[in-house]
Amino acid sequence: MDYSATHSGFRQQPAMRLRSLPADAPDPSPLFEDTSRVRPGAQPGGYSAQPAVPPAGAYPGQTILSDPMSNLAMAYGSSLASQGKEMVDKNLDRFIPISKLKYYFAVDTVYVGKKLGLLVFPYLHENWEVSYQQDTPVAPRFDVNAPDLYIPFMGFITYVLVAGLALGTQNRFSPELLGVQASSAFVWLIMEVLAVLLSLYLVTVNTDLTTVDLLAFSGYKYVGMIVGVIGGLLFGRLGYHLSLLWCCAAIVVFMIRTLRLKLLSEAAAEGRLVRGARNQLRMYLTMSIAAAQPLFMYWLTYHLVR
Amino acid sequence: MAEADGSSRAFLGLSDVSISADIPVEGDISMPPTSSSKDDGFSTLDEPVKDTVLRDLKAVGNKFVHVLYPKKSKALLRDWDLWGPLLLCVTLALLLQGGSVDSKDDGGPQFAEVFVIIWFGSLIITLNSKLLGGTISFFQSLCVLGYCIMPLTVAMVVCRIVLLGGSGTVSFVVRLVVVCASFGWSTFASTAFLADSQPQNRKALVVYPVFLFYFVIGWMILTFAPAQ
Repeated sequence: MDYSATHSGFRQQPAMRLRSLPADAPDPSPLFEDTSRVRPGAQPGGYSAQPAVPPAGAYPGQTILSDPMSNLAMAYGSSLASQGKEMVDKNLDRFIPISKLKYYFAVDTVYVGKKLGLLVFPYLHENWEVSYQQDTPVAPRFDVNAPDLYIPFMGFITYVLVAGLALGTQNRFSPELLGVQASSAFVWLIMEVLAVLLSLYLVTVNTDLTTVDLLAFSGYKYVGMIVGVIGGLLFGRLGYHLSLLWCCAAIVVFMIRTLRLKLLSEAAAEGRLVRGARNQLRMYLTMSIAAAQPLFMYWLTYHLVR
Repeated sequence: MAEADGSSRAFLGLSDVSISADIPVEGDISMPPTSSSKDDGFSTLDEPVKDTVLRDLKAVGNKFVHVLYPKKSKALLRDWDLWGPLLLCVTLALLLQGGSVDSKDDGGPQFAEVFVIIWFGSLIITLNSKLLGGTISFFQSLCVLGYCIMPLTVAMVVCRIVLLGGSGTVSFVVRLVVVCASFGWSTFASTAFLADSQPQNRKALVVYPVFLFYFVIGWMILTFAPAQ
């Protein structure tokens, strides 16, 4: 069964080694499984004393694989392969921290429902603090205030598809436009995140907001944009403007209330009036981040609704 | 403690075997020839090509049957292969040629665009499923999504036949019904396989991008209009 791993093609045997690994643990146990049966025949000391004479009566195709030299070669090749895989995993983990990304996807349906409701109607929610558990934030599944990446990701894709739909109803659609919409929205998102990062750096705010958090917060506006475009498709320009207005107000309130706790000092976050240039600067920063959201929402959707 | 005793006993046993340097050790380390019944896998080099091709075709056909009658079986997941998705993707892309969406365009989606949409969409769904903590592997998920395009391909064939008879309102309604039915069938078939790999409270989160994916393909099929 191991020897068939060398066959190419679409058979499932080449993947058996992949399948025996659990989803995210780079454990080398398949390596040990594969070579433990090969090892008795692959003693390096035996080569000089042993010519590779095939036993009589063996199948011609089997002599290649029963030769101890090729056993060693296969063991070496499989160990190289798994070493390469580990190296790729390690290096990839340095640039895109997969384990940290998994935190942002630890959501469930109830959380997504509540968060979508919050994004459209944040006025009644009272407690905006993210709960912590011994210095690490709690997974989004357990705390509706924690940022996640599922909603922004799905919102982005849905926005691109709804944009294609809207253009299709005006007979302006072609499949390249899907790619154009997607890339332009993505570039605007990246520029917004970079601008926020730059301003956070300039104002020297001491916050525990990570880049991925900022990406998540910037991605929440896609929900409002989708609602606006669908309203425009169903009810015409008036419906578009009304629903977009509602969603813009909602996202401004949402962003201010969320960022206030992260950017401002504790006293100011509680609403007490704190004088001082630094606090004023932070308040302006929060306001401008929140005010940028409706601008982006309008900019990315007005050409979709005629 | 028992293990330490056992290992010390083993060492005791070994320690009274003495190998002196002037006794040559010899033996035979070639692998014994294994019988063909045990190792069916690698003797496919010797069988006639017809057998190999027929075996693969049978596996592909078996999976088509599984998609037609989606029950919660693990066969699609266990023996994944990508021939079926490739075949379906190429068929669908070929059938979507020769349409005119707009008088300015020279046709509907180009072949490469359909290909890219299908494979890129499958990639995104798989990535999402893995990030949500699913137990399904990358290629298994590609296999399932590709095979479940089959109802939509059948709908495309039906739509082309219906369009041969004219493109009025009746034909549009018929096409709409056919495409909606096959879209529902595709989504249901793929969730029967994909949603099993997720715990209960996340099934809807995995199903949503699948729904979007087949919606896009169904939309492409529905808006296909042949060139006049």
